[in-house]
Amino acid sequence: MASMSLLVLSSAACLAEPPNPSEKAMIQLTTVYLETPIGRAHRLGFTGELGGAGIVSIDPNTGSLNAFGDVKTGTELVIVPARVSFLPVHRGETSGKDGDRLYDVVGKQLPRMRLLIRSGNRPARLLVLDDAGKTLRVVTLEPAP
Amino acid sequence: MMRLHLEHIVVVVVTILTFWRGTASGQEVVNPSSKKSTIIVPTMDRFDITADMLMRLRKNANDLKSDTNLEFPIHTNAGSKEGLPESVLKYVAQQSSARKQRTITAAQVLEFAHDDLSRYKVSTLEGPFGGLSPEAIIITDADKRPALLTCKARIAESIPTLWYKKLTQPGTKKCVQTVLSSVGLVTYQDFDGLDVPVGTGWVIAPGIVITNRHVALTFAPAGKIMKNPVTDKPIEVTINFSREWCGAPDSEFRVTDVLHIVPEPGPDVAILRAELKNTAGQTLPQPLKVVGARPFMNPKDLVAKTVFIAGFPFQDSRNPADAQKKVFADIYGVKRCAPGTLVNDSGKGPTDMLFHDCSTLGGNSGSPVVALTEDETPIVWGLHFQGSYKDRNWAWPLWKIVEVDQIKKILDNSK
Repeated sequence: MASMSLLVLSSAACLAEPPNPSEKAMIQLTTVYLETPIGRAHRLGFTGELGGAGIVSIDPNTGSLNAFGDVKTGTELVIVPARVSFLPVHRGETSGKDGDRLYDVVGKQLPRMRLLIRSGNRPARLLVLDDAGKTLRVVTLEPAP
Repeated sequence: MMRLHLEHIVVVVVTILTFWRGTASGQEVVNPSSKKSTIIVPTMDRFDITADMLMRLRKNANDLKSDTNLEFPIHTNAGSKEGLPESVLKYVAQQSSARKQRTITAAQVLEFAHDDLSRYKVSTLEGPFGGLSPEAIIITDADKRPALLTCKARIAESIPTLWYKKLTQPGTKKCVQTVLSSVGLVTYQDFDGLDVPVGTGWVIAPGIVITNRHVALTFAPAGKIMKNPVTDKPIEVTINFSREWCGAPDSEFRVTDVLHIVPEPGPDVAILRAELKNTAGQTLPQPLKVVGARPFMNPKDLVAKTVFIAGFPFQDSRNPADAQKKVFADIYGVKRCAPGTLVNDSGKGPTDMLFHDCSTLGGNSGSPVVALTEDETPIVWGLHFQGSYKDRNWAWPLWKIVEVDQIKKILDNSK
């Protein structure tokens, strides 16, 4: 369960392989609490359709963690939903290594980001990029509750 | 009677210990009223809850709710702390440090048991606070802790029976209306020109708005309203006193300056200046009166006092979707009035914090916590600033906030 990286909402099943970019699959993923924020987000949530439209939840709230690493006490700022597109990346170096797929997260209010949807039951990743496309940060994603 | 309660506590502790251990073997639980009592909490090597165990714990938690101050002496086993789960050790250390005591109350035992149990999705366990299950929505029952929609600064939906009498007295209605009129949603415009709502603020003096430090830092990270690098002008920050469910016209005022942000570890407070009259010719709402001194000398007298909070709760993925739906009916980002009570430990300790169980979500940061009385004039007791999932909400008491030198000066000068 913990390693399940991708929820396919339509079939309520876990994909053994990432979707073909031409196929549509729904995701519902989140980062854990990020002590060092990405932009102003201490947590980012991703819901929507791979290859289509989605929402990124930008959670700027800070908090203290319990013994399990979950936020126990947190501030109550507005968690802003930003409309985005999850666009498949078609490039030589990223065209399906081990069946993995990359998706650009395109929208306003966000730093440059990509989702890596991986084959098997390996967890998905969030990649934060600089303007030149260099990967600055990698964050493991988990299914959103 | 007392004996009966002590027996209950022992049963509860045994039950909790059983949960942690998975079996009841190896435990020693002696009369907790004795100075020589020893509670040995075994290592949590597995977690095995049966429905029967849960029912026993819940039943005893209910029986205990009026005796939450009974204390257990706590000793770690033979000088070793290995037998205690990390969360228990941490909790006991915090309690000991804060209160200079080496005991733990029945309420605290239940509290951390609840915290750990709730992590294992045992959401129906009832806690020590009023016998109700605490959640960041603290109580997931819209009849007990509603968050009522408003229109034109009045409650605009049917009030649950539990609150009907309290909220419909003539004085109370006027009190709620005054508060709702003076509470607004703080929003800034980002560099892309998009509006970013952040939290709640309210008028504390003519032309002066109070909110949380962490709200102000989103648009004033260096203490002043940040500039758009393209235009080199300060970004637009506003407070909207309307934004109600019924679609009343906006009542938006520009926030022109950040007067003071209290640095940590001081209260989570920021003071803003807002225009007195907006471009539509509307006048900034009247300031709310705040309590200048602790309203009751004995902190215990604060607990269970009814209060309400006014603010702008938005959808908050940190709370379960079904709990949000129950309390907020999937309507978010509009002004609400949420009644509740102050809960255990309010007004105690070096920080003198207030704890409450009103239903809140992200967007409520900066909301006023107001005494719910039949007096027409509202008195703000607290400034809400954070929530603790399945536990309680936190507010800085106003009597501590107005003690801050710079805030005192600002308020004095505004008269």
